[in-house]
Amino acid sequence: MNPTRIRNFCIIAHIDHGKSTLADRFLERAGFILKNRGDQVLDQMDLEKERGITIKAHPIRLTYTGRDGAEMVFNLIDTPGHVDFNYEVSRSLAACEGAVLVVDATQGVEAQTVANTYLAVDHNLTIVVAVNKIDLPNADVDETRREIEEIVGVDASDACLISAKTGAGVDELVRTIEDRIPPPVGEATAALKCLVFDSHFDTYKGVVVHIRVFEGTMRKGDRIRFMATGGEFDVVEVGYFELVPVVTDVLTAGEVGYFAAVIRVPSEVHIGDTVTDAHKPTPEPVPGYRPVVPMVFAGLYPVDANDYEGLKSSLQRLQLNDASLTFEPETSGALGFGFRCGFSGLLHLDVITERLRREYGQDIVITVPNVRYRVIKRNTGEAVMADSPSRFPPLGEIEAIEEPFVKAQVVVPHESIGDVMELAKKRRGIYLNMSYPESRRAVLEYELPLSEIITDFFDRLKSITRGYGTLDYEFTGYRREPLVKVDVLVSGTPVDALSFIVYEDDAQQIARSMLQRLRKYIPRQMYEVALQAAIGGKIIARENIVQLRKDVLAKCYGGDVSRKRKLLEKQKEGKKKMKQIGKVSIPQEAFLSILKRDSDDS
Amino acid sequence: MTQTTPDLRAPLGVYLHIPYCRRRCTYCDFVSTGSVDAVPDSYVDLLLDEWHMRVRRLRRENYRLETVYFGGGTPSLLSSGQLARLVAGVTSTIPGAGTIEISMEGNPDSLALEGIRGYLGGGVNRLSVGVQSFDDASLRRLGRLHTAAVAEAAVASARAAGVSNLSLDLMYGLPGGSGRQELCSLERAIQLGVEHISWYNLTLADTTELGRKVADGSELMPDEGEVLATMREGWRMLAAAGYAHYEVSNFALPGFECRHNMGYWQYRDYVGVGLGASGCLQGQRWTNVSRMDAYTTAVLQEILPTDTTESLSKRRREGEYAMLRMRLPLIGLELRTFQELFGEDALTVFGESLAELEQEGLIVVRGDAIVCTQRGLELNNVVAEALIA
Repeated sequence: MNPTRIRNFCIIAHIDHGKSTLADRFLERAGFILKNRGDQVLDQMDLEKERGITIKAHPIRLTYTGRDGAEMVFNLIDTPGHVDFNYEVSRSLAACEGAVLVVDATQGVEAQTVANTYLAVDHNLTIVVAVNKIDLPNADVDETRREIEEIVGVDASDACLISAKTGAGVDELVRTIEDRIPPPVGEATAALKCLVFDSHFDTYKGVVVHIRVFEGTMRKGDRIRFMATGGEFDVVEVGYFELVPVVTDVLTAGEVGYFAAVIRVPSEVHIGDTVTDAHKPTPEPVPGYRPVVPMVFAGLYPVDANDYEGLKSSLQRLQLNDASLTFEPETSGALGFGFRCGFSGLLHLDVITERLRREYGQDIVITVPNVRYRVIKRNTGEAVMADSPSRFPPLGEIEAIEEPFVKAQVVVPHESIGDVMELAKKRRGIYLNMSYPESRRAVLEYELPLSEIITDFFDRLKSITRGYGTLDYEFTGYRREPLVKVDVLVSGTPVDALSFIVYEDDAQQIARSMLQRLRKYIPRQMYEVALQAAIGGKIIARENIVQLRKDVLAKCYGGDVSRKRKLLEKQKEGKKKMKQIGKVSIPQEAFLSILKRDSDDS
Repeated sequence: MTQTTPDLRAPLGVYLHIPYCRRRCTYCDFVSTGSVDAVPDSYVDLLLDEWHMRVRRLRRENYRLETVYFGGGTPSLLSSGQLARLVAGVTSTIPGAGTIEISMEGNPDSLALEGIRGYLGGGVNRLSVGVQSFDDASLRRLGRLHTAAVAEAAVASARAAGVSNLSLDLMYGLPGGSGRQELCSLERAIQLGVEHISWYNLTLADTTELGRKVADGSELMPDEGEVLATMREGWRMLAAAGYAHYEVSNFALPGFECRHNMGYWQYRDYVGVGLGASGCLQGQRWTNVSRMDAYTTAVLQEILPTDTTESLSKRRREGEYAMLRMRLPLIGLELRTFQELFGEDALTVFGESLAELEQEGLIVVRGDAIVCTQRGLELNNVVAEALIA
């Protein structure tokens, strides 16, 4: 296809600013008949709608008649929107030449918009501004324009004024995209060079790889190679996506589409990897590839031990569409048989566990998430990788503990610099650099322990900057830190699933507030329950759950019986979902929430 | 008199709800309307109409009327004529066997000698007086209209009128109250020599005035340890005075247990009539609507004013049965009765739970019955939770 007839772009918008509605209008203008208005096509998972985030990107090809009467092809690439998926967003953006920035004329500019626009600008994308919801009586177009220029720093004088709901201005927007967003450049005859920006698993075709072709031509039957992993496959199907896949057998430079090559193992396909011709490889891969490695680990256990196999097959199925999820069997003295799972970040963990609960009906206990530590053993000097506190050698055998550090780039509004620096310092951050790309925002660079980021750094950053701060980080390496493993004992019994690794100086304080939190979660029992935190054998904190001595309903007459029974049934049902540690019932929430720090903790 | 054939008819209790009060008490979450000095005749008509609708659906030949109970609200706002009409309406429809217990609740401020005489004339043979406390400050805090002196006078009037089965309601664990003072009130009730005492730990509902005050911190609930000590001491005092502890909160001189309430705890059938009342017949439970306009409209149209119904599975009924029986420390859960009622062995149904409760010292097996220990009464919810489905 002639690249001058192609426009590749994405839509940047805050939740509810009309991204999906606008996408629907684009689809209609390209001749697609949408079954249910309001039931948007692009976002597929319930969870995405509920959280207002897009987890998986779906490219779609739209065909219009251009100004000159000839056919124009628009490739609309959807982007996820959260720090955990920052890398995925950057890969989607890398597949585009332009972005449509949609701002709600009744709401003005929101934080997420700013962050993603910066990311798009960093990728040298041409920004087309669209002010949406102009049909609403409280729309303030001038103010919205002013905010876009002042806060985002993008010229909005020639912004398109649209209503994605009514369709007003959408035709003009389509023209503007044609006029302003540059066509892709690339030679169909050059060596094949494609960017992998997403993939999904199909039962019949195996992994379906979503690609942007930068150079060359991909044909059915080609032998291709993934440059980062080295995997080679024969292409069996090539095409692009409309609402359903359309087989073309060929994709040329500038096009967006997919291919299938009987790839049975999802981990063969890495987002950001470059696909090239195995016989005539391109000399340079598409820049920006990072291997996706799990950063955060947590144990997932079935509440009912009989559900182990069910949890296993659910995880396997989730993994098919999510190569960044890893898992392997793990046994806990307290929780029984389960899995140690790796995630790209805390949100990823949240998304996976929610999907397990909702889509797969799994009742699970999640242990405190942690990073993967490197433990150097005394005498032998042997290094042991431990992605769970329970895999730590005994205290006496530990020479040193190393933890992963990241280089974090924090973009903050000017007025929050002081507070963010304070936060970074409290989280053991090492200051590297600060720059002002423009007067309104500063970019702070820190080296931070990843463990600090996965606890609550991002949430605190968002709250300090009222949503405008953004965070991106990349792993830099392991560093020796004074860390200790804290064990938690319930009634004298160590509960391995509650152990955690912490900076030595903070150990006592964190242990104390953790026990206090744990105390609130554990229902009172007929006996006093002692909660203790210990390093090695030394107790560093203790809390008691006072004995339940009186629990009786004073009145239970005719009209009270049913209510009383239902109340007790509910309580009993709740306890069934708790984990029994000896005679003590511990609710699921306790395992995950205990390490969340209070805002007043350091 | 000798009985030649055993009476196979099932005993039936009837509850009539009188949802009127002069003033709503600060701790009350019952269905009731405040600022009323008398019960409208129209409501009495509705009660009788509903009763007749309910009784038409019963297989009357299978029942014998055992007890009638007037609860509230404030049943002592009924005139003696109204009360007599209701008693006659109920007792004339289903025959009883022997003496039918006819209980009535009343508040001290609406119990005068003449009125009580009228109630007795109408058939009442048991009176339960809502004294709650003999401490004026506590009574004010609870929003009661009477004082300790008025309560004493009501008890004297009841005796003068000839009430020979008299019960007093008292509470402990009150916000702002002291255990010592609450025990003094209990001591006073014992001194008065009443046949029956209901001694309740205050159950605070969030929706009540007192509940809101506790929630916003303007009233403080007493410490759990103190309430427990008060409870134990009260139980000891009552036992020493000869009152049998026959239910968690109920104490009686020999032979004066409330037969109507025992019916609930022994899982007998009962019919509830009136606003918000509930009934249970052969495992089918229902609750009436609690809005007066809806109640009135339904009954006037000859429609049952039922709001919700519940049909219980066998295991649920067994659970409820056990839950209620474990409130009765004297008789407990009789294995033979359980077997007769459900055709199953309670030891099989509750199996492991019973063993665990026994091990915890919450229950003991006494003869043919499983009963709660003192600890089992103090932690009665733990016992009940273990036994329900």
